[in-house]
Amino acid sequence: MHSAVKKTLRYLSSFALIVTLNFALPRFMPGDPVKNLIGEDVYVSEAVMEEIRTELGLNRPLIEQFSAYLQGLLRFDLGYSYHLHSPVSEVLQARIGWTLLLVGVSVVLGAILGILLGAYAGWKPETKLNRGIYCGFIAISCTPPYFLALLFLGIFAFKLGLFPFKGFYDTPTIGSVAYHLFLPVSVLALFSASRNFLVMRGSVIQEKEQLYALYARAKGLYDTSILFRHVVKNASLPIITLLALDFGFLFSGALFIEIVFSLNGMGTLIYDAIIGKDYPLLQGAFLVIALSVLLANIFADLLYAAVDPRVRRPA
Amino acid sequence: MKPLLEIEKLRVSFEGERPVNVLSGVSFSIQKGETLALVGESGCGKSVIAHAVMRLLPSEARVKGSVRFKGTELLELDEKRMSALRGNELAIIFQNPSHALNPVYSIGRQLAEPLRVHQKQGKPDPSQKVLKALKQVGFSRPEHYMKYYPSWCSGGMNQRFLIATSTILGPELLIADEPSKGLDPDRIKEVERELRAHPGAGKTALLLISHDLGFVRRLADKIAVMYSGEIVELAEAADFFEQPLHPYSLGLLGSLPENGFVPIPGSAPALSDPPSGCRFHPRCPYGEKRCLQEHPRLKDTKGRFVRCFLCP
Ligand SMILES: Nc1ncnc2c1ncn2[C@@H]1O[C@H](COP(=O)(O)OP(=O)(O)O)[C@@H](O)[C@H]1O
Ligand code: SF4
Ligand SMILES: [Mg+2]
Repeated sequence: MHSAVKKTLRYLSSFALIVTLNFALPRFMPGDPVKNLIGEDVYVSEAVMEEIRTELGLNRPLIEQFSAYLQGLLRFDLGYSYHLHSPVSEVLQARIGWTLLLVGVSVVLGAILGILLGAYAGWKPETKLNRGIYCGFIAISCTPPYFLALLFLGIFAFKLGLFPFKGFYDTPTIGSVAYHLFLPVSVLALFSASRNFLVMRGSVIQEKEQLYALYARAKGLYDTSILFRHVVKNASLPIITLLALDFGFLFSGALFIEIVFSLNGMGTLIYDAIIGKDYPLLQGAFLVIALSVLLANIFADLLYAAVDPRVRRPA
Repeated sequence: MKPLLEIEKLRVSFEGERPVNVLSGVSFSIQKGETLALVGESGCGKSVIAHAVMRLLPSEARVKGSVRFKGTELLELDEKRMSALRGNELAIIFQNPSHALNPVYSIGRQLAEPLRVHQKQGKPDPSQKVLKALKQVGFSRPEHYMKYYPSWCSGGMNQRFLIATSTILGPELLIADEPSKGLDPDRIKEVERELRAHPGAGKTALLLISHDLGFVRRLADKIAVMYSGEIVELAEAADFFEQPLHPYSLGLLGSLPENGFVPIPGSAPALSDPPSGCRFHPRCPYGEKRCLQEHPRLKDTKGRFVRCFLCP
């Protein structure tokens, strides 16, 4: 119970830190905070600037500004994009689904693939096949996802013509979504799998030497049934931690992959916002991404507690 | 009568930077239902014998000689057929119970596993057997402990789970590796009872491994004393305790609390570099000149076997 309290406190303080940073950055960045809050390259008259200044309360004390900012957050008010002429929350809402779909499917596929292949590779690391797979995954894990994406685009879309170059912008059907997401998901899933694979392989190599694995053999279990009935669950525990740590990493990988495949998710949105210096949008995106990484970590903690009885106590 | 387990000239060495010959020709046999105690100081190779019989030694181990179980040569059996014997006719209780249990699975699941693995067709509900086995090792609320995990339990409880698991199918040969190590006297009494009163008891032969002669005295039919990778004395328990013949056996008995706690001087030699001649000579109070040069053989003297020049 004690450690649960500590963990909750830690998550709450990370949350507070993220929110505070998001509030403070535009206000303390060099230059006019109004410019920082509405973005550069936006041409508005002096009168409108003043209007925004009052509306955002930039001439009031910081404490009041902060409380107004927090109240805004509670109403999902993330500011206004003067480039897109639309509230940031609406813009993000429209795009984040695709990114979450890409990341979510890839993380699940990558976990399954990495755990399964990693388990086999760690169980019999000396076979030719497993050594080959090991080398392959090392190569993939060293390759930046966007480069892998370019490679896949070049081979499967350009050379072989199996998949489209660009994302879809018409009404989505399951078929067209699958068709357009196949390559990006493959790239991200492979990348995620490569990291899980390496951890899982090492973990299995370590766990199979434990006494419980030998006792499983002494009870009459044979070969891979020892792996699947005893070793895999123990060996996957580090994967849960890795998944949480990797979530932000994969998310940023997804952004680049979206740009390469011209998918209309957060990646292209953020890319355009950077090019256009649309600060409100960038800030909102930063907040949402940071919070989703935080959520992923909380989820991993809960999952860990569910899987590992050592962090629980008898009822 | 043909023995249940017959070990002949068993040699085990471990490869590595400095190869070690751990066992240099160990032979003994166990009859059906008999209890043979293997005693000796820690590091003399007792666990290696146990693991060699179960064929659980790591891959760097080189095993020679013969281990026959009910007439079948175990050292030549393929892994598939060996695993059909393990946990079923041939079971072992490991030295370190808390690590032998899997930390992420419940006790109930782990206890039922031998049933699940070995009784494929027409199995009745295994939980009844599991509950019974837990009762037998002294848990009054077995259904409660079935849902427990090893990390929630004490070492003593885990050892009882392990005994229950290894005996649940009533094996013909049970190997218990140091079951009394690190336990208080009350708990040792209980272990004795559990080793006698499990489902197969009576017909189960027991290979009891211990460094503690006092513990095996109450259980063993036969005693085999090991020193530095070889057997130095093998005798009926009654004869042995009445009159041990090998100087090392004398020393072991003398170091028991009831005999005044007199330790054997010196310490056991490293197996990588055993002394010449009789391996016990650096510590032997009766050593003579030839003990330094010649290696004594295990000789048959009046139905018991002793490896010492002093014995006729
Ligand atoms: N896997 C191994 N590799 C190398 N040496 C080993 C291995 N297992 C055991 N040994 C050696 O075998 C000797 C006997 O060990 P063991 O049978 O465990 O003794 P004990 O009589 O205390 O059970 C020890 O000296 C140990 O160093
Ligand atoms: S052979 Fe010699 S050294 Fe060895 S036990 Fe007998 S008397 Fe002692
Ligand atoms: Mg031992």
